[in-house]
Amino acid sequence: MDDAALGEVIQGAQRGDPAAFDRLVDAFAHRLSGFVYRMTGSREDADDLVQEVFLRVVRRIAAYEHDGRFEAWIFRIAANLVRDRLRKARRAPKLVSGDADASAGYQADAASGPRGLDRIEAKTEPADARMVRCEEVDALESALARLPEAEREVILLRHFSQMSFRQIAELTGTPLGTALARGHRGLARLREMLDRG
Amino acid sequence: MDTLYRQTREEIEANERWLSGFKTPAASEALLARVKQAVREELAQQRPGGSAKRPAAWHGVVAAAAAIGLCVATAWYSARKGWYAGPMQGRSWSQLAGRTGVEAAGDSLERSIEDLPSVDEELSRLEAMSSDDAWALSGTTLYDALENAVTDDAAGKANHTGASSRLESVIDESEVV
Repeated sequence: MDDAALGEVIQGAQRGDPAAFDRLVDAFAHRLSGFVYRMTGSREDADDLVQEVFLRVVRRIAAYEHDGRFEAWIFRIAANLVRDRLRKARRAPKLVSGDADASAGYQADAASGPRGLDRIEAKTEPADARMVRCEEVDALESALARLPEAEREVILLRHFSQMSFRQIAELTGTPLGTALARGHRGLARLREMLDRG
Repeated sequence: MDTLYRQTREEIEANERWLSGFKTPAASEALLARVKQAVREELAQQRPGGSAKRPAAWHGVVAAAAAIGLCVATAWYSARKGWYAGPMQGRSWSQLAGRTGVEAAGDSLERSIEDLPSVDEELSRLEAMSSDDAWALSGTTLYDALENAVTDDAAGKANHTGASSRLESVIDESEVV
C-alpha cells in the first residue's frame, strides 16, 4: 500500500469505517504478528497482542495525524505492549515449534512489504525443504531468545517494520548511537550463534 | 568517524540481508478474522448508543449515594458504640425522625448558646469544688473525676442540673418542637 492509499485508508478509519480498518489489518497484521511473535516467543501472546494493537488503533486513530509515519506509530504501540507483557511475564521466550503442521496453519504473507522475505509457502513446499526451514526457524528462535531484549527489539523492529534507526531510537527512547550499536552488535551475535550452529 | 559509520552501516545492512533469508510464520486467517471482528465490536461500542465500557452518568449518582450511605452508617454506628460522646450518645435516629436534621441542629445550637452562661457558672463551681481536699485525684484521671462529680451532683440535687444532663435536655426539648 503506497503512502497516498494509506492516507485514504487512515482517513476512512478516522471516520470509523470498518472496511478501512479491515484494510489496515490486512496490511499490517502479518508483520506485527511476526514482530510480536519473535519478541515474545509465544503464539498465544502474539495473537492476543496483535488484537490489542488494533483495538488501541481504533481508540487512538482519531488523534493520529498522518505524517507518513503510520508504520512507526503502529509498531510503537506494538513495541510498548510487548514490553509490558514481557515485564509482567519475565519468562524466557519459548522456542518455535518445529512442527510442520503448526507452521502450515500460517499462510504466506503476500503483502509483507520490502522485507517480506519471511514468508511460508507451507502447502506447496516439498516436505524435506519444509523440514530444513523449520530447523532454521528453531535455530533462529533459539538464538534470538539468547539476545538481550533491547538488542532483539532493535533487530526485529528493523526486520519487520520499515523504521529507520532514527525512528527506532525515538521509539525506544535511546540515542541514535545506542540504537545503531544495539542493532549492529545484536545482528553480529545472532549471526555468530547461527553460523556456529 | 565517517569511515566507522559507513563500515557499521554496511555490516548492519549485510547482516539484515542475511536475516531476511529466514522465514517467520505469518498471521493465520483465523487471527485476521478474529482481529477484524474485535475491531468491529470496538467500533460499535464507540458509536453513540453503543454499549460503551466507559462509566455512564448514573454510575456517578450510584457512587455518590453509596458514599452518603456509608457516611450515615458510619455515623450511626459510632454513635451507637459511644465512640462519639456528644449529644447523640444513647439516642436512636428514630428519636430525631420527626424533624429534619437541619432544624434540630439549629434549635440545639440556639439553646446551647442560651445555656452558655449557666455552663460557665457550672465550670466555675467545678473549679471551686476541685480545690477542696475531698477532691483528691489519686487513682483516677481528672476527666473521670470531673465526670463523676457532674453526675453525682446532678443526681443529688434536684434543683441543680449537671452539664451533661443539661445537654441531654437540649435534645429532649428539640424533639418536642
